[in-house]
Amino acid sequence: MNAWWVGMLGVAAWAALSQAMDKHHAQVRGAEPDRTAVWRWRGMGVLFLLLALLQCLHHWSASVAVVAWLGALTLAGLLVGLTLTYALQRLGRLAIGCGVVGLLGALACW
Amino acid sequence: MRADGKPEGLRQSMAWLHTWSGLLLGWLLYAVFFTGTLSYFVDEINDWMRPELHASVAQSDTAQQAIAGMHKLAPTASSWSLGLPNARQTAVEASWRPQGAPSGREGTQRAQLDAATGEVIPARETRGGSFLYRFHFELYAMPRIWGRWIVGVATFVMFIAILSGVITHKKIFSDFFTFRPRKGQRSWLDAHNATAVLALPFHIVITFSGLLLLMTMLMPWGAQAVYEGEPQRFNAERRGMAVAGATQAAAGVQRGSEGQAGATGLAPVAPMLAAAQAQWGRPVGAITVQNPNTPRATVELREEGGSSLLNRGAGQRMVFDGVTGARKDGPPAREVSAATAVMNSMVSVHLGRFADPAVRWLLFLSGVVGTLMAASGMVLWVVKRLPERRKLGFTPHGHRVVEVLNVAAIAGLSVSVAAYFWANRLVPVDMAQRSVVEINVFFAVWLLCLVHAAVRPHAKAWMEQMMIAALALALLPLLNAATGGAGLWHSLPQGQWSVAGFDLMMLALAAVHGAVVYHLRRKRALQAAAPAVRAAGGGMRTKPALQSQEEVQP
Repeated sequence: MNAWWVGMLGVAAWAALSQAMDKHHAQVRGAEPDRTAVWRWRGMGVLFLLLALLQCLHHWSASVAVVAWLGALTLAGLLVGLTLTYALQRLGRLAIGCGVVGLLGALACW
Repeated sequence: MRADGKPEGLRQSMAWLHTWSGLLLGWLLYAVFFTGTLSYFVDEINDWMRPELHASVAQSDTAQQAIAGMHKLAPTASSWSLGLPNARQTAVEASWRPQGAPSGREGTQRAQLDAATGEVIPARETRGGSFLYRFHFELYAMPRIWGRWIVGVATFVMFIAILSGVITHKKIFSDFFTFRPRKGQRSWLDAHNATAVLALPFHIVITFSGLLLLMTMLMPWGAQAVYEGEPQRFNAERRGMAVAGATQAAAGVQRGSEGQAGATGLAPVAPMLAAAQAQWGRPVGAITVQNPNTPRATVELREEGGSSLLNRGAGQRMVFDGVTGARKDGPPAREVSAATAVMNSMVSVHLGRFADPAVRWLLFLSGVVGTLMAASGMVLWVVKRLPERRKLGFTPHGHRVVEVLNVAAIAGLSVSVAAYFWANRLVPVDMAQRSVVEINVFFAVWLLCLVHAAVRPHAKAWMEQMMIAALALALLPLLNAATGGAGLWHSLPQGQWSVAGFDLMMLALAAVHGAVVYHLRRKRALQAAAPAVRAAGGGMRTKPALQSQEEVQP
């Protein structure tokens, strides 16, 4: 299950990072983000990326953890990209759902 | 040089490099990526392609049964090795070395044992997944070294294509999540960028480590200079081993002096397994018995899978006295130097032998993303040149050649891999050299796909080959059950993950091909419904729109 929690944290991370990008922010919210919003989204994205890495390090040895982290992030990124293309309105729900379930699942492993 | 005589910028020259290095070796690299990605499941494919093994289901006393089987099979061998059933194999993989056998691979004999009875299972002769695995780095039907050189050079070009691609597609990071569907060239470029950038770490590592794996062949001079014509010593040192010949000779001497002591039973292995599992928290993957049936017998247990890349995923070991069953001191763990650790971590990711199922699937899916990147790049070359063709009013020969090779290399490879699996079940079991026949079917079907792509209009060739691939892949799980293998309804409840995993992987691949067919059909229907729109927006069309082009071809 661990890979799933990592993937979900990754989805939340990428979704937040996409909102730090002018184009995708405008896509979802109709306007480009101001500077504080950009840094808020970036901070949140980086936080979730690190949480995903932490979860990998908890489960695997450092070297395997990095491989698993990058692999899970690849697939999570694809999912966020496809959501932005085909199901724009659901991005928020997807990200929050994945973030919450991913965090709970990860917490249950510690 | 540009037409106006000004020097080219970095980005233009990189674009040129990326386009042509990608195109010229793209077809080969696609095949390498595709078969290499499948090779993450080489054990599973090997299991599936020997349906005789599917009857073997792991039991709690499998290890003891296998040892009993070896007592019958090779009582006087100098060593036994038993790979126990796990998520990746259903039977016991046994190998042994008869006394006085030559060192290395040719001195080793192999058999598959039933996990419940320890009896030998006579499996059909096949190269199985090992053929696809070998093909991905040394091709086929040519001296091994040539194949490795060709793939090595192609890998080098791939590395160049990746680096130049990052420079060329400047929007690769700002368009991180962007995919604009149904926009022809734009969509293909988006797909190419997204699959490239999202799996960029994987692409770079897999390509670079591919070069490292061929390193001593591509650039032998360093090792030659230092080790002065003793490549064995270099290889042994690199793997952190003593020179192989010396230890084996020593073992042989010991066996010779004490081996005649007469048959002695082996202590029961179940308590040893329990002790090892209790200490490791992970199951035992393999058992090696040295000098079985002698007073000097030792039993070495190895952990299933490893946990770190730095030592190439080597698991922990535990050694027991074969007669008394008492724990002995094993060989000390080897120190791994920094250089070796770097090399190992790169190479281990490539080989993926360490990977637990989750990491293995992540690597496999990353490989699928890379395969899609290669394919989208090759299609992009054609799509990008459609406006030029329209202006010319005919299809230049070069463009047509690329089209044909694209269909044969991408769709044709799927068809021929599916055909390889079909041949595995349809070629009679007792046929002479049947493993060669299977491989010949693979290449014959691939060649047929090339011919088909050459004689059919471009869009129809894509559609037809994709449809055949989807059908052939989707029916494989049924074929498996109908020709003596364990169907999903057996393999899943019995926990035979290797067989079930293969069937599920084929269904997933069939779904991918089916999605392409669905997409192509819908596109054609849309065009048939709105010919006026096609005429107006012609510059932005993709594959199916090429039909109108084919008609004016010579």
